[in-house]
Amino acid sequence: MKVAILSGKGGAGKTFTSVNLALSAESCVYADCDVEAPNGGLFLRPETPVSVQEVSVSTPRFDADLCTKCRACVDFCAFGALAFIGTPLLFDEICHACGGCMMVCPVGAVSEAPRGVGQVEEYGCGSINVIAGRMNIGESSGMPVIRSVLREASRLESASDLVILDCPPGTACSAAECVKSADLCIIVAEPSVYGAHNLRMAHDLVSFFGKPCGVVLNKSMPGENPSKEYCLSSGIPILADIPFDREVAAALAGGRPAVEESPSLRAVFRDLLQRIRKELGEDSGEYAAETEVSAR
Amino acid sequence: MKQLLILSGKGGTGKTTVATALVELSGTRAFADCDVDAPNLHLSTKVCAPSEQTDFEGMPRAFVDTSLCTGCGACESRCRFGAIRVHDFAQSLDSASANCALDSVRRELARADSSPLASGGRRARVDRISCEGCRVCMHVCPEGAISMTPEVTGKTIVHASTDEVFSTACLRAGAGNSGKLVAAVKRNLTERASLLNEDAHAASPFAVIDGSPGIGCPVIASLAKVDMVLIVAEPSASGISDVERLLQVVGRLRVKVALCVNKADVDSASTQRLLELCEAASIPFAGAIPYDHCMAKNVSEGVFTWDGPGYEAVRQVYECVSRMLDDREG
Repeated sequence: MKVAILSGKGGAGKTFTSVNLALSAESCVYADCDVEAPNGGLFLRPETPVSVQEVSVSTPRFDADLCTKCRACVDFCAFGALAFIGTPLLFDEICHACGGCMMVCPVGAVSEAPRGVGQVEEYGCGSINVIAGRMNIGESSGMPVIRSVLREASRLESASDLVILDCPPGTACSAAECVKSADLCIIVAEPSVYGAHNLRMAHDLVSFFGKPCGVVLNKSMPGENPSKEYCLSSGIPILADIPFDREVAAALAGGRPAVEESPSLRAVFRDLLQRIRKELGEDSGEYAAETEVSAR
Repeated sequence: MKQLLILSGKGGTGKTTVATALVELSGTRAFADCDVDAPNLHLSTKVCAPSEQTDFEGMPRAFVDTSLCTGCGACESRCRFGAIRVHDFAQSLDSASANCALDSVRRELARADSSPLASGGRRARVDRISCEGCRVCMHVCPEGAISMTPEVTGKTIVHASTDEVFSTACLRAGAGNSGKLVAAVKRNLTERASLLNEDAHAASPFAVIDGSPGIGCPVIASLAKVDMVLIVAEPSASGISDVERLLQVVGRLRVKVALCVNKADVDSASTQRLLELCEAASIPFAGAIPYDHCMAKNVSEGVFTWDGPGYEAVRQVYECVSRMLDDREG
């Protein structure tokens, strides 16, 4: 089963929740899908050799000798990634690699070559299989890297009963791609006006795909919590309520996972894991699968 | 009017809090929120001008005329985005109810009730979330069954009068093309700011633009034509790593950059590290804002007491930014 951890608002605690959940599970896959700002690896450091897979997209190359300057490619490109200055000229970062220009060229002057847009790292950290995507600086779209991470996560899903997807912030296409492939979505929400607003947007996204979801209230403080109020009024289950704690913030800042420092958080995340299994309505058969994997 | 863009790399470092405080401190009558898939600036700023909302169309998406489609699969085999698939109608309805991932297919099917659902058969269907609008499928379809139809992917919202302008937008859940929507937000800001009256102009030393987290398309789109970037950094392992990535993006442009640290006292070692980073990259350090829960809460609710350590530090950041924007040489 895949659990997507998302938030709408940045900095709500997606990586915090994902990493500590991963450390609380007997064995699992942790997949960092926040490829623009990947941080899970700062907490889950490699303990086994790191395999690095380059992610590339096919971008067109133009053979000037064959080109008849008909401009069919430039006219076809829906993204404005091609200009014609004596010969077709490509703006790499705008190209969506759809293959359209190659398809319409009447003389076969367009070929394709791979262009690297990022990497996917894979390694072990304790009993966690870590998959971490990283988009190259200057690229505009992280989608190809996210898709590669999700593909790897699906490949490892059969060997592990829990796959945690640490999603990008926001509610746009990149977060949607992760939500689409998840069995359960967990929205992490801050107790602020901003947090509640983005919680609602994230809830809309999850509802659009018809996924079951729950909320983790993070950095809770005494007093009003607009995010909690939203959960109660819209009937989203609150799976955990994690109080704000400066010690935890300091541990995070130093790159130390909180469950390793705080016994009370260890209990919180153990409970959260139970709640997740309950939300997914897992039967005992799935628990047996977990035991099998941890014996691996 | 000069433009100040606020970025952070990592999310949740305090971009909107700082942006709100800068709007208040500078007295500017022109500001915008470019974080179109998680906009929040409207929650903490006050504007009197009424809002004008306009539907925003992203790239047109492929649409299959099921009365012409023969289910040959030419489109599916050429689509690089996995956005068009041939489904057995009767079957895909059944599996849709069992498999949530097909929900968008189910919605589409429900909408196109004129299609020959009852008769079954194999037809192509478009996943309008995954479709990027390249038109390859339309080109390869031997039956001419595919056309491109406009897709509303969000809305732009402008509050504008001759006294003030606030430009923002909201992307529909799961939609792409946020870069284009960001560009529309900025266009609205520039157009409406040019219509401000003299008093409003005089009161506005610069326009404040709240940015997106990350380093991808919305950030790149928001960087166009700005005069200065203020990075709001968080003193943490994650915050540092993301600032390093952001600096590489911003460093490619000829734009002034300053950095301030928010919640600076939460981890002084990381704050020190950020200071060193600024020094190494020759970036002015605009200030260290201490963790001040009351300020963060007040600002997010649009309350300004201008009392306490947080406010004092933000004032210093404002002064640094003003100086840098005034400096023609820098």
